[in-house]
Amino acid sequence: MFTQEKISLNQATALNTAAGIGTVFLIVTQPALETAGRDGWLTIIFGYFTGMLIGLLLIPLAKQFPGKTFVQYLPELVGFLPGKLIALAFVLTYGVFSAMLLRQLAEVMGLIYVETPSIVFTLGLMVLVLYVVRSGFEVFARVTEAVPIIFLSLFFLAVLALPDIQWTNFLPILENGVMPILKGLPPMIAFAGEAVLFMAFWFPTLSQPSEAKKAVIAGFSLAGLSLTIIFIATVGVFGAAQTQTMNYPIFDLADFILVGDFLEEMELLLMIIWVPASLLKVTIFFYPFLVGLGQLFNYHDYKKLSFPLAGAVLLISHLPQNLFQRIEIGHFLDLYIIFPLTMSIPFLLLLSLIRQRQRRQGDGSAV
Amino acid sequence: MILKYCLILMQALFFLNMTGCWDALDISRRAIVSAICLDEVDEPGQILVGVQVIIPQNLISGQGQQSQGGAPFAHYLAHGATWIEAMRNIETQLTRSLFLEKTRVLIISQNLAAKGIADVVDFLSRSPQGRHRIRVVIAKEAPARRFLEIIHPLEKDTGSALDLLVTNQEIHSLTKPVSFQELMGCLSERNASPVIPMVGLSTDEKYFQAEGTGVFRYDRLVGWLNRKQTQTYLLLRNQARNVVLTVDAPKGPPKPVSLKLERSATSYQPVIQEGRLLMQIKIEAVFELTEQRTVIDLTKPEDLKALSERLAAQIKGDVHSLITTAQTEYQSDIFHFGSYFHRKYPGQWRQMKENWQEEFFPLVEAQAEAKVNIYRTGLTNRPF
Amino acid sequence: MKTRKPRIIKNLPPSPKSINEPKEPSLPERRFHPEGELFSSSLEQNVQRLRDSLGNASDLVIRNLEITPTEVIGAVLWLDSLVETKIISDHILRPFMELREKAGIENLRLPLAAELKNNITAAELFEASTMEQVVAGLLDGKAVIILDKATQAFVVTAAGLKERSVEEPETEVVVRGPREGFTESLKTNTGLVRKRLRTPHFRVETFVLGKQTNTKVSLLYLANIANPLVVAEVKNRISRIRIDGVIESSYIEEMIEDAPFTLFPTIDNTERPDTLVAQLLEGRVGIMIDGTPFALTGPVVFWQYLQASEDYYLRFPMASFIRILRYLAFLASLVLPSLYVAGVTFHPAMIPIPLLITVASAREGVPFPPVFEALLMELTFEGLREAGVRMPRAIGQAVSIVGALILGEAAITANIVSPAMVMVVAGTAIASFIIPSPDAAIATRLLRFPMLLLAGTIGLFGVLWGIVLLHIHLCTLRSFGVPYLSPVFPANYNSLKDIFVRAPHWAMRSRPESVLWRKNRRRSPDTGPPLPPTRKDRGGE
Repeated sequence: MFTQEKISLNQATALNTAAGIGTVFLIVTQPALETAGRDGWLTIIFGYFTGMLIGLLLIPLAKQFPGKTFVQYLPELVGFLPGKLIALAFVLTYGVFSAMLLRQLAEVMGLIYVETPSIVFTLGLMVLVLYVVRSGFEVFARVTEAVPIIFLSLFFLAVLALPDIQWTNFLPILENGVMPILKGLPPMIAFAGEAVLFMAFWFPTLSQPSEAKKAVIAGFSLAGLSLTIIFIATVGVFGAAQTQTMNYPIFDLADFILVGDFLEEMELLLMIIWVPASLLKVTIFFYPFLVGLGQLFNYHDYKKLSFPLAGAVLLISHLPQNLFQRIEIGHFLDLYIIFPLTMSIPFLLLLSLIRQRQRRQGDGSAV
Repeated sequence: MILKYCLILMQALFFLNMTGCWDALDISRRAIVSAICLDEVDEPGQILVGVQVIIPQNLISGQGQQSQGGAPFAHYLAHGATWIEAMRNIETQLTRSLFLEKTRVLIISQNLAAKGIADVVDFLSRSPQGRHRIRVVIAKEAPARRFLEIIHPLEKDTGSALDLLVTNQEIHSLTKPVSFQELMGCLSERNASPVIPMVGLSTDEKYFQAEGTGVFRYDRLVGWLNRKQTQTYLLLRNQARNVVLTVDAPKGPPKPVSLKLERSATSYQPVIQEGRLLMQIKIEAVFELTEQRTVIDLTKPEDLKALSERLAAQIKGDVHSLITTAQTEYQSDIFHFGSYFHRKYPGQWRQMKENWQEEFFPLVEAQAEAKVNIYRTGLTNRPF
Repeated sequence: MKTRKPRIIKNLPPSPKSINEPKEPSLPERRFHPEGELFSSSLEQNVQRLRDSLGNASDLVIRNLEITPTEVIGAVLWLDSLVETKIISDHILRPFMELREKAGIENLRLPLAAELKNNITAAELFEASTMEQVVAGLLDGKAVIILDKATQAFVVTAAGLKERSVEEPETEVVVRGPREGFTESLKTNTGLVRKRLRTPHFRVETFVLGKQTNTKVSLLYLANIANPLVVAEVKNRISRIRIDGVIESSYIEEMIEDAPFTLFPTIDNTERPDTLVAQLLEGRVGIMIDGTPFALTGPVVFWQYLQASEDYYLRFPMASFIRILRYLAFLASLVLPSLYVAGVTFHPAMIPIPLLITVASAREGVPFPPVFEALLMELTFEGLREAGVRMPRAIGQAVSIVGALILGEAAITANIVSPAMVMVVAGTAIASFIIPSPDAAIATRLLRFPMLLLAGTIGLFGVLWGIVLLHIHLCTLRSFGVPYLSPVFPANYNSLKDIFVRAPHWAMRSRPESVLWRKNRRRSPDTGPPLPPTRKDRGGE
């Protein structure tokens, strides 16, 4: 049973951070630049701040259903059929997302390994994901606690880029007013929302739910901060116009950085964090897919499902024809499923409070 | 069970290894390219690409190995319609695969640069690795391929020799080194034009030397700055180190006094006033007196003041003449004035953006102001 | 006679007969002759029965106790090979003689048993009433006194087998620190621990394991510090062991460890009493086995394998530096050759150009691909190491000279391996020697090969894949319920003081929390750095 596993507060923070940074550090600059241009760092901060607020609102909601995951209490909250349908959408989205991230890993590896077939990378990562998933959520929580390696490396990269950052690249601030920033928010909130919804999924495993606030604040701040720093470093070095032409700006940044005269090629550092980051993020999407799908149909032996579902995810990961199609799918899921789901959490909380009050009044009248 | 699977996996990996699969390619099967040159050829629409390939065993002459005594590198030339096609043609002469990621320098011939470089650098901007730090240099009045033949006495290969030569501006202040990444950054914006260092061959074609800085308008080479102009340019771009300026002594016979720049700070203040574009430039510099060819004591405060005023006046004059040259002769905003106006006047900038360099940049009135402080006179205070 | 074939344990029975609380003194309750359980009243019959049960052993000595040359009232039996004869002559025979002299024959006959018991001066004596206790006593190096017409025998401790004296252990050498090491005698070892732990809370519980060897195995813990759940679990696991013999501690280790298939040890061993005591003080449990100087400790965490006892004896900045060095060495010995292979075959772009040129010129003309070269060299190195260890010391040196000097030099000159590869392999070897625990070094030595194969197949991705897999694997491990990577994964900030660095002793105020359950404080809470005496302390104003 998934919900019988227990994780500590530290591990909860690590899970939030990992879900927030994930592999987003690779792509975050593009959506941020697209609408807000050089002010994209503001979009990231606001996006993750909103995500944090929604994460805080999730806590009282989840506390009303102890021992139940998001997938399990949705039908209770909004009615059986709509609840099941929304949960199904959530679970399938996470499944498709895990496939897309596998694909993303293969694409990035493809930059370095030109001739190696991408199945080597997707399959290789899937083996690791399966090992984690079958070892249980506690083991995954422990594995995730290595996440400081990822954000410390990102900080390190940014510090190395510091001498080359031209701060004038960020001027003038708010050239076109606040609107571009607001327009750029949905994808950012969706990035943070991936972590919020993941938390909605694992919340019942938290051993001290009363302390969850700390995990949310620390986790989302760390994630948002890391991404902001990465944005500032890349745009500071390359400028907004040039960064926008890049597929993976952070790789260009790592390539650009030169420490002393001998420590070239910081891609090595990026590679080092790229594989674990992909593992964490794919698992973060695969876990709700696996366990959630089981819970949706009241099937609790999720370890038995892991192999067929992993096969399905592998298959889906090879469906998109090229990079741009994959990005399109990601955008679509982010904007039309993750974003609305995330934004619905405050309303769900409201609904649950109303239900609670009704129930209490009902009890009162009965006595 | 687990052990059995592990063993099977390990056997599979072992045989995969033995067959040498996918991207595995030993470095002894790669040709390490140190420098690339781009040249014009007579055939229209063709481009000549040359690579200099390092021969490692001739470069290392340690105790363990006996050096074959051959040249430390070889070069190969080929032409094609595109860069990559030319590269493929080069590979027909090679027994190994070209390894471009450690290339130190890209040499472009002057004639090619005059026709525009944007289309030729496209290939490099797409290749996945190792492109940001490549230095770009222009071969002045010589075919770029000639540079690949020169053995520099101090450095191992031409690539690093040229790279170090142009980055050595901290000492000779004759070039403004530019990496491929900076070049791309400059070419992707409309508000400024790049400069690229120029190197030339000595008359006997035995060695190469830094010659100055090439000025571009967008991606076309339109002229070059000599040593003095480059110094002024570096001063304006806040990149001057060790610049030595010589002025006449303020009293006594007009004998030269040389001063070395310690540090400088240049700040810009763009102003749009009644439709006029003004650029107020403020240069603050600290100099050290390094040599004087007079025997007059110049360490009195009033003398030093007079000297620094002379120096300031000279700097001011240099700045004005350089800006005027860029405005009238080259019509190329190598000073990034555009980005200052963009930052301060984003509204007006939108109208000027498209034709900035042709139309508006020549109209900018530069008002330079220089403040010089001589804070040291070397180890002695007076001439003997 | 039915002998049950000893079952070599494949699947442990869930919970067989518990031997949790053995009776004092702990002797095996085994039947040798079902019919010979009790004594008969005839001395001769008893002696004969004993002789039979030991198969008429040639080292069984029987000395009759005679009052007159014809009247035998008893016999003393012992196994000559196990017993110090001096004890028997001084403490059994001499008192008997003196008694005979003093009391006279007539008096001696009747209350003999009581008299003799009171007069035997040997330190340890108990009365055995069954034949099998007597046999077990004999096999344990005791002397047995059987009296005519008596229903019980006196078993007297007279063990005097030659033992190695307490010496400095060879495996865990320290520059500063106690020089005593365990010996092969459980008694001596218990003493070495007990003299360092003068507290009544120190518990020693002894089991006898091994159907044929009847080896004594002691469980050691501090009753007021160790987690009783862990203690109970260890007892439970020991009680489940069904084995014919216990020769060395590894027999026990492999029977009770949490994860039998991992390369990483989940039970630590030590040859040093001070290390064992320190572990007990941290709330761990020790297991000592008669016949081996290696004691087991558990539960353990991974980081312990990169710590040495001397870390706690050196000054803390130096100890911390050495620890960090060890972590680097651990990583290096795991991945250095594979990183080299990955760099040379897949990612030359990641090597700085001067180094790249050097390596490329060294690779020129080497006939093997780098992976194969690395495997070859690593295997050669492992072979040389094994040859050096197993050979007598004098030949061992010759092996290392041949290996290092002649073979290495010749291989480079003949251009069979590149000098760069030799350097990498040598560096890896040195790194693996830095790891203090041979058990952890074994893991890296073995894992190096799959890592090399991964590196040779898909370069850096393969190496990282291997490292991540290893990380997950270590996260799944537990040692007696304690997560193997704690206190880092899961994090416990308080216990981190003793992981990557070694904080000063006054700063480590609590014990490692993951091992414990209560009484976590080991220093007074207000312990701080030692301060110079204030003026007030000196009696001034």
